[in-house]
Amino acid sequence: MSLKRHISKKINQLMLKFARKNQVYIIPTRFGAIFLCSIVFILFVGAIYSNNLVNLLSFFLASITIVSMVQTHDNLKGVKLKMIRASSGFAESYITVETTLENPTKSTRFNLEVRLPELEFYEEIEESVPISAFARNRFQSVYRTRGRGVYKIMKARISSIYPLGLFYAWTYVDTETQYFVYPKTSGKQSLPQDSVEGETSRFSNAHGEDFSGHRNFQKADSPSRIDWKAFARGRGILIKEFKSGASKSLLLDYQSCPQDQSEAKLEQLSQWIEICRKKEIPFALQLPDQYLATGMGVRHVKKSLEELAKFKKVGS
Amino acid sequence: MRTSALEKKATSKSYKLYVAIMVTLNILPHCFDLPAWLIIIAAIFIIWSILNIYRNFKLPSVLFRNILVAISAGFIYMNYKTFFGPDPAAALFVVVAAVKLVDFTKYRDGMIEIILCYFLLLTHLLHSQSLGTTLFFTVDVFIITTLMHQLHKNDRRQSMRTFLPSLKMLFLAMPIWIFLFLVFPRFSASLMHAKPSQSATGFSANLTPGSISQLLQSDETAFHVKFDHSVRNDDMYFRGAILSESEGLTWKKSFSDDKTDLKNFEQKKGHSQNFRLTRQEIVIEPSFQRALFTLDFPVVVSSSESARITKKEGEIYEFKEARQSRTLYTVESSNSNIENLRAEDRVQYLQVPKVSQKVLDLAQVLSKNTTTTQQKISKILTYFSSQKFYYTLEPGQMPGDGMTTFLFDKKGGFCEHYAATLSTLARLMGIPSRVVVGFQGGKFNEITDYFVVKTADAHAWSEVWSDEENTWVRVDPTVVVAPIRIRYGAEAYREGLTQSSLLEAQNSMSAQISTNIFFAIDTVTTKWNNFLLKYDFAYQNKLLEGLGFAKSSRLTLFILLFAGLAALTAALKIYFSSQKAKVDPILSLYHLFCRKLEAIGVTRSRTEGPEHLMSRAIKKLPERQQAIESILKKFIEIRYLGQKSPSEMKSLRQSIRKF
Repeated sequence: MSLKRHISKKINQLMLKFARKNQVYIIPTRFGAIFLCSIVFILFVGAIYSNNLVNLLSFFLASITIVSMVQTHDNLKGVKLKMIRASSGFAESYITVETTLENPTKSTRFNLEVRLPELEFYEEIEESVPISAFARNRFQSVYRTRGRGVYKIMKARISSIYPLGLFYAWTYVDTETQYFVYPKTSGKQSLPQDSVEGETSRFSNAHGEDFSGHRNFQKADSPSRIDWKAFARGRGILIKEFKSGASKSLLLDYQSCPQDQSEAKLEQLSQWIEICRKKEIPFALQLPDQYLATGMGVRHVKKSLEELAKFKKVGS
Repeated sequence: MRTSALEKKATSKSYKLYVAIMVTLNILPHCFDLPAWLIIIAAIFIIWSILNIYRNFKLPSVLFRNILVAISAGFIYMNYKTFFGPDPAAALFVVVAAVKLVDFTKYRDGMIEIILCYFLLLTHLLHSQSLGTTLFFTVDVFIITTLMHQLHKNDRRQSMRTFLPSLKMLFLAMPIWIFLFLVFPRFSASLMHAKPSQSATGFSANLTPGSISQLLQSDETAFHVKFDHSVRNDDMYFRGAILSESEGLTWKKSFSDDKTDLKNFEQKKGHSQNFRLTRQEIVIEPSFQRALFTLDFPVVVSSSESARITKKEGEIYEFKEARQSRTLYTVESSNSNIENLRAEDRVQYLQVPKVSQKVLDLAQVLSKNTTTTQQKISKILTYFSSQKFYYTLEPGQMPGDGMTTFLFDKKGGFCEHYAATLSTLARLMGIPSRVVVGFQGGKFNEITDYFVVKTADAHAWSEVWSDEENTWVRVDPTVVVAPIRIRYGAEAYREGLTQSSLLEAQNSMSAQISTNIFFAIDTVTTKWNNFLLKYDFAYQNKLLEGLGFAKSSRLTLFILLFAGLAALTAALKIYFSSQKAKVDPILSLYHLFCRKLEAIGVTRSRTEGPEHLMSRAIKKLPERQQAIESILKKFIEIRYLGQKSPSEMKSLRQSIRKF
């Protein structure tokens, strides 16, 4: 099994290297090969028994093979990759890639499949449906991630085995998108107690603090902080703000991580950020060559994690 | 390579049910050829799988399934002594296809079932090539291929429209199919000869009372025959085998038969002066294995290159190997025998079995005051007619010495009894004689010019040697006993009709209609069979010559084949490309409208959206505000809100044209 996987990986790499853009390639599938052998066998049976009806059967199978070959090729031709968007994720877990295919012609495209050959495929999120004339379809698949870093998706492979599963046609299209793989969350340390000095935060956690007023909703705000009662009164979406004398704003410092290895430190930071995200604790991030001021919300978390993914060891 | 969508489709309830139906359909034609226990196992598994689909019935374990398949394979081997050949293969396919139904968990299983079904069909085609089989074949390949297509079409809609792409694909395959059939060079040399199948109804080596009456119950066609000149119904005796060893009512082929050699036959002197040749073209069904039926005494017998022919005792011809398929052969027969009766043969044709004293006495009485062979034979025939002998298909048991019982007690029997008795009596009276089995009569089909000879027309009669004329003379005692049988065929006799009622029945409306229907069906069948049979390399050659290829060989055909295939594939490609209009019709309408606006001075810039264009156009043409607004709003609706309906498109097109 591992040998098989190895070989297919090598072939994949070779194909990626030499395949021409938008060229449609086609080979028989496993069942296509069995089917072709069956046709030859039935042809022999027809000759042995001088049975024209048997000949007719083998000719029928041959004719649908030819038509399916042309049709598989045709099913792919002209399909355009309109959009590709990859989510980011933690190392050794999964990311979701969303692609949109467009059918610019009036013939319906059946059973198309989009794969990113540079990534390790895990599963498809939703069943693909035929793309009718001049329409677009969204495809979502999940891929495995390996190590931390910033990755680029350069190629996507669109393929099809429609109409009979006898032939596999594929084509490579160029893409231009990137995704971050954050350090995986690990580390046993609890959150550090250091708070940011000299900075008074306007952020507060919602637990047990005093209500100080409203402000307008911003995209990065957590829905749990929306004042729904105010919303119900027709005052629009407002965010409750709290003021607290003992406002906690954490400083997540690379240097203060107890681990020796830089990767381990990053993993620890990654875990802390995750905890902060869940508990809605504002935090600042201090990396050797970078400082992110205190903040919270989806964007801040994302930015911080991206910094971890991009992180290059100082001096190397 | 495979998506989860494929797996989901393959294992969906409805698809599994379709596959179960497809497998059942393909097992059905094998029901009559295969052992019953096998069919029962298959039926159990099919029902089991359907119960599983509908009622979540528990499926058997993998071990149980494998053991069952192994045991079945063992029994199949015991039954056929081999795994090769159509019958054991069909048996194996049936078991595997049925068992696979309950082991249907993956896309792979679906594909395996589909390929198995093609093979089940193949084994059925080896068994039967009738018109009915052809129709079944056509419907069946369409069904299997449609299911194969549906499996790979990720469409969850459940309506008849989802089958349209499948039909379109089959329709596109049609020209290639026909082209391949016409041009693919045929190799008719039989590379391997199959063992005779078990289901053959044949002429056995023995003529025991009842062996022909079995055939008389059958309604199948035995062969079709066409003559070069008209032959009277009374003369249509098709000889199939000579029985020369008499055991009373039972007659056998002679033991020396196998050793006969073509060169040992002595040519009859002065033969060529007084004989008449009849040319026949005969298409014989596979069920008679080696037997080859001809009128009288064949001079020339020829068949397709794959069927070799050998000569047997009594100027009878036979196929060297048991046939598996319908065969066409042509014969030229002489109305009298060509070979002389040799002295040692005369001894053999005079050997009599142990018969009772009563029979010996009868022979003595009959031969009194007779000198010539003709007198003696007519004495026997007169005895049959005067003693109230009658013709019946159910004479019952003939206890003890069969012949004595038949002659003096029962006095009822059918052709076999009469032929056997007459030949035995002739031998007792010193006339060399033998029994011939074959067919007598046939129905004439005016459309095809073929006579249809049915299995029920099987018959037995005698041949006696006339020393005076130095020739074999055909004597049919049944003519005396049951003239209707000879004149109107076995069918008339089976229905127990008398001469007057027969004429009446023949002229009745319903009889005429049913006869016409029979002939119409027979015509189509014959035409189709002959086409399938005759379409071989020689025929292809003729076709090529007609097209202007002077000297054709298989190479020419191959070149033509590949050129044609390339052309057809290119045509397919062109067809598919033509299906791809590059512009969305709604966009082309929009562009048309833009051109019209341009004519009045509102030019759309490349990055301009329709709403902006609308406001500019209205500014320019305030008096047409309503028209412009309605057109562009409709365009936005159709293009961006996906409200595409043919009627809306039509109204938009009309309003743009009017503008």
